[in-house]
Amino acid sequence: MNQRKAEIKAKKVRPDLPEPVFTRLGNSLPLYMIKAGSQPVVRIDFVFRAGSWWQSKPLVASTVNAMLTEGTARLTGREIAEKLDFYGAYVNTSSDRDNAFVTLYSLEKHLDIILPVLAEIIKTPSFPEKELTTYLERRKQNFMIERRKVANLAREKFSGALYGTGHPYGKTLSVTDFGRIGVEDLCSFHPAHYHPAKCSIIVSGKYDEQRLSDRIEEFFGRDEWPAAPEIKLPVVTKQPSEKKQIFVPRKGAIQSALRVGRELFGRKHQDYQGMQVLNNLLGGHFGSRLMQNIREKKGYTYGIGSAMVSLRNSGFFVIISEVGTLYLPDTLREIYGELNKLSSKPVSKKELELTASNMLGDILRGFDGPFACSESIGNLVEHDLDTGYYKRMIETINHITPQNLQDLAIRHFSTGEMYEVTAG
Amino acid sequence: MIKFTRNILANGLRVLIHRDDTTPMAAVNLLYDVGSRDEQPEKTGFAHLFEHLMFCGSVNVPFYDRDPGLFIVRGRVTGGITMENAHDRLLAELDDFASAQPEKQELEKVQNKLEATRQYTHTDIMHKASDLAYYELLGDAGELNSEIKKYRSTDRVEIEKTAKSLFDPLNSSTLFYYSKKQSPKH
Repeated sequence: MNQRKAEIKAKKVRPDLPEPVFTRLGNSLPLYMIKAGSQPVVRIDFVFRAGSWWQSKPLVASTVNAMLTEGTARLTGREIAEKLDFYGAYVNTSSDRDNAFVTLYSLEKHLDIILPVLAEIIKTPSFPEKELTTYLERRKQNFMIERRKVANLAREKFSGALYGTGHPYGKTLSVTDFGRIGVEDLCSFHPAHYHPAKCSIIVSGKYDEQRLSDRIEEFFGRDEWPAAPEIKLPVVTKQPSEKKQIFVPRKGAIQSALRVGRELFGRKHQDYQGMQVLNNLLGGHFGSRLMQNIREKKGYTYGIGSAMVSLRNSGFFVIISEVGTLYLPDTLREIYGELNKLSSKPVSKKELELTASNMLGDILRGFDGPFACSESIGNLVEHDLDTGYYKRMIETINHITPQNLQDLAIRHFSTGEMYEVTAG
Repeated sequence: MIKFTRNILANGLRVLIHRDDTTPMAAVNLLYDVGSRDEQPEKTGFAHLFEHLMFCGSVNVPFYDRDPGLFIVRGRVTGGITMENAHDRLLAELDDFASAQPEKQELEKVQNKLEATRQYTHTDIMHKASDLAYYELLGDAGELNSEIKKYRSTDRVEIEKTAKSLFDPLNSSTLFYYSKKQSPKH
């Protein structure tokens, strides 16, 4: 076979990324609008500071979020679903530790009909009892199945080890939690966290700017949707586990799940962007060291990767994989070997170029079309970052040196600091 | 609407170019007229194997094995329902379809959904590139742009007529996949 390897040229690429237009609605709710794409479609994202960090009882934040589309003061869940379906519109809801999201996809020409429905979903959900029971039952069944999987066991124990099980980022669910949540919990969480002062809106697509911002002002910028008082949460201190190695046995497991990592910092830390580059090189893409060594060369796993996870009040680095139980010790040895190598030897220029191209490509893909743009801008909103973030990231990628990377590895990848959680 | 130009190189390779100034990305989609349907029955898996061999470069090449010549209904039966029940019900459903026109509302809903899905799909250039290539492979990339109009202009009479000609049980075959535990009657 005639195989020609593409030459990777060390070009300093500075792509023009589309910039959102930032305004505030009458009630000072932040609105980001970004024109993108050539199809007449619009995506609207609502980001609320309403993730599990804010709940005083397990399950409440995610249940409020998932139940938004199950009924409002005027519409039943079925009516909502039928209305959206008829016009080919979609509303997705999701939530994580810090934030809760509501996303609408619609053709621009149907927005006059769809926006009122969306406004109801966000402002006046009714949390019907029957739907709540069904939802919790379904989720509990799912939980019972999921909790037996080694990957989930490892994930739970890992967060617990980093933050302590009493901390909002380290808490885990138990089956009994599903019986302890009721309509009243949702009804008190919703008005406290789904209001203009805890919300940002991101609009992307092809639309008439004046018309659409007027409509958004009408539904989300007026006094009929009041802000609630700010909530001060009691401070919970982190209680990292003393033990650095944790093993969760799981009888009959064919594969073992592993997580190796440590608490670091979020996106605002001065080392964060450099660590993104280092992480990408280690385990952030198919050609990364972990993937090439442990999957391609050794064949211990189908996939291995690492990530810098940014939270609003913390952040961590983690390596994740599932391997044949037999290969667990060898895999761990290789992982620590790779971490040590980064501290002891500068990476080659060629490898850094490969990682840089890969990361630039990722950033570009993050702005390919309206839906991707929303996602990228949403990431900034989630972490209170300004819109210059990606430009600075591109500069970091273009300028970082092998020496910088080695320094970062020495500072943050010391193997003695790593937690190692294995399950199965 | 995706505007494009078509060039044919000296070696016969068809190159479609679409320019999109709203994105900083460029996308290339190279589609070969080959897939799992070209495999020998006793040597399957080659199309997938070749896809993996192409990983040796760095380009992600999607492979399709959609067969444009087949209309397929597939599903999985839930506990307590036999395969035969599910099959009978499915045939009855298709028969209903062929014997009456769809409701006006229902047709409008389907048309709305098809239009929306089509537009959503073409918001990023990766999808635009792959759809252009795929349509060109099957005949003419220009067809891609008339699809929404065609969906919109279809009427209930036409749907009923098409359903009648297509959903004849004699025209179909069914494959049952049984698990080890089940004992098939046929």
